[in-house]
Amino acid sequence: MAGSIINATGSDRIWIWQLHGNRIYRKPYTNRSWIFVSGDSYDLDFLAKQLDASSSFMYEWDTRASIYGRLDGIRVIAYPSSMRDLSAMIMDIGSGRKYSIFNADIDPVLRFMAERNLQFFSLADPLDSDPHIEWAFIGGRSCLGIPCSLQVGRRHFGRIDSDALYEAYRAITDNIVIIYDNRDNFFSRILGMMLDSGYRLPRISTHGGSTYQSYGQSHYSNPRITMEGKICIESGSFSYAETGLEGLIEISRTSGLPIETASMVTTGTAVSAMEESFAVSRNILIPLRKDDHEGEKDVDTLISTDSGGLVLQPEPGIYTNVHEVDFSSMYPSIMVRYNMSPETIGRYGDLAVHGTPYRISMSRPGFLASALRHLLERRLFYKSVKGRSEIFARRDAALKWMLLTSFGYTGYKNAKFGKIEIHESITAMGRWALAASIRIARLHGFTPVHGIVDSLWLSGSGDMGSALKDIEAETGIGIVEDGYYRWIVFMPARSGMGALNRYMGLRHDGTMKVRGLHIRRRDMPPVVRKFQSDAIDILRECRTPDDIWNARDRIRKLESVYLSSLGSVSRSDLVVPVHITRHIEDYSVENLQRMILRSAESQGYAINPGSRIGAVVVDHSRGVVDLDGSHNGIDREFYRRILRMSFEPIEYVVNISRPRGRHMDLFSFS
Amino acid sequence: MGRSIPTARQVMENLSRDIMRMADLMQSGDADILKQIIMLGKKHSAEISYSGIDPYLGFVLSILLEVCRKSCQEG
Repeated sequence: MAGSIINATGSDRIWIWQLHGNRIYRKPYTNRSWIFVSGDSYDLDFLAKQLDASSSFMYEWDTRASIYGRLDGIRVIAYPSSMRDLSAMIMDIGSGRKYSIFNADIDPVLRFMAERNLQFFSLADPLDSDPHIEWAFIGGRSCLGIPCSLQVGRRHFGRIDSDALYEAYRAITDNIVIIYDNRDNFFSRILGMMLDSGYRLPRISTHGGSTYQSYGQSHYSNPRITMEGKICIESGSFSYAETGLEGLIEISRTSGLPIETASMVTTGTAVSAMEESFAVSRNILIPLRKDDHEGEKDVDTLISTDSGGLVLQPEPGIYTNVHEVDFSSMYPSIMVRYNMSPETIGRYGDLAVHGTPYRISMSRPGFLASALRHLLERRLFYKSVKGRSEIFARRDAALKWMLLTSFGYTGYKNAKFGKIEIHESITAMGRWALAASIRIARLHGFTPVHGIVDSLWLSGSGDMGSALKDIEAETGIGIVEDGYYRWIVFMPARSGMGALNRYMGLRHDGTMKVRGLHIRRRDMPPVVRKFQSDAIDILRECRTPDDIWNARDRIRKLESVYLSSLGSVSRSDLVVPVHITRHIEDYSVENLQRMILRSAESQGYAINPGSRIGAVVVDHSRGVVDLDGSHNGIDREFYRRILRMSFEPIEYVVNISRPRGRHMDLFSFS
Repeated sequence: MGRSIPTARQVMENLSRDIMRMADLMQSGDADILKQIIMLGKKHSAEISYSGIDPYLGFVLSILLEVCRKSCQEG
């Protein structure tokens, strides 16, 4: 096949979309496939007789490789659309326990591509650009569910009239990739308005939105739209929002998923797809239901292994001349370097996993380590060149997310190639590596100031290059200096202890790093973020703690300006983005979420749990919020309160810089 | 964070909350000292977590270590 493959669709018949110049050609291929069944020879004979009797399926006796070794069994030929029923039938014949079924639930497009060693958006050289595809953005703003303005590419329409709809129609017909915003069913409603106006559009399918839980938080996934002959990407999808179109293309390229599918699934699913693609291309069977469950362990083993990354306890204060060093993709690097895979881990092996009873066999490459090696090497390459171009930076971001989730997936119960003991071993090796780094850094004359899982902040004036070399030699994991700070402040928590993930610092190159402050929070109105941004701009000019102390009057003046000018701030700067996590009846206190839900409900508008919605607080004590610009006035006391809260960390930075109040290198971790 | 069991930090936070209930009945001077002792107990949570020792024992060791350090500094 010549030309770049940009998409593929179908199941029993796969349509390959190839880009030649500016044109896209779609070609169909018949996609007949197979599933593999292993089991006891007597049971397999019985299954063969049943298949002979039904005469609906062709089959042959075969021997295939799984990650644990070769298996004898029966390969049943089938179309992808019949595999689900076929698998269920075989499970019934085997009373649900006699047979192990493989390769029965692989995405048909992914399997078609992997079996033929095809790749989406294939590049001859990793430094090449992506093929050029025409794309358009269609988005806009809704007021309580009713579209009120439209954005088509760079054109903005303040109201949705015939010109606006025509522009949207042109965008859809002229482009292959449609990036759309479907918050509040915005795009669905625009398409409905276009159809009502008589425009002929490609066949449209809508896949309903849903509320889901992830890492203990509720999220709402907007309804997805597909259009025949188009690649539709929802702008709110995590992968698109984080990495852009170039990042999505990279996810499609490395996972084997079509770009539209890649935009709909989590990065964890993309990693799982990448592993499946790797397995298919190397003729390794993929279990329908894995049976390598967590092994039995005693309580002491559970206590020693059930632990996450090592996080130190910083002493709050300001520190000068601090180096930040980071392990590069620590957890994936551990998996690759130490050959971690379900089939290599056990109680016997060449390598002991520190702090656990587990051992790893290094005698042959593990499946998971091999599958991730390519992804890791690719990420480290783009990390090294990301400064050269925005495309490389986005590819790097996409691969970074995939690698991050690759670790989490090892502990996921449904992961095809995951195992909880690997998850535990990775964190154990991570803790060991960070502890080893602290020890080596001390030998080189540095004092650890703080450490979080794969990052260390070190004060001192030793030879950093030499220290990093020794750390890498001992741990086997790449480590780099990520920043050298003129000053860095670790903030206190309410308890007075150092907060683990709240700090700000000025690097020697003039850039600031800020974590855990209001400016990074998604539930703060723009006015708060603007205040902290302006304050950080002042701090950026301060090269020493004395400079910070001397800038205190400017910062306090900034605070009073923000407080006194609340009445004249643009209304859009006062919109508080609120995360609605449950239904109204499930809120027991009268908080902002409940006020918003009640206000929306009174206007006949339903908000799904997991959604984010903006509101201006008009009267907090009476529960009045403005969702659609229908109220005047603001609750100044409410905004003063949150502004004052956002002043606190800035004031802490100033006060801790007072000459007698400094904590210089007084770290307690020793 | 632990998957099935609380982390050393979580155990010590819970312990601190329980101890702080004592402060409700104490004279204000004693309560302030108790708060400081709790801070000392939590100061080495990273090392305690890393070592895998019983967090309760770690809490006490941490207090002892900090008190010893303070007395050494004061001579």
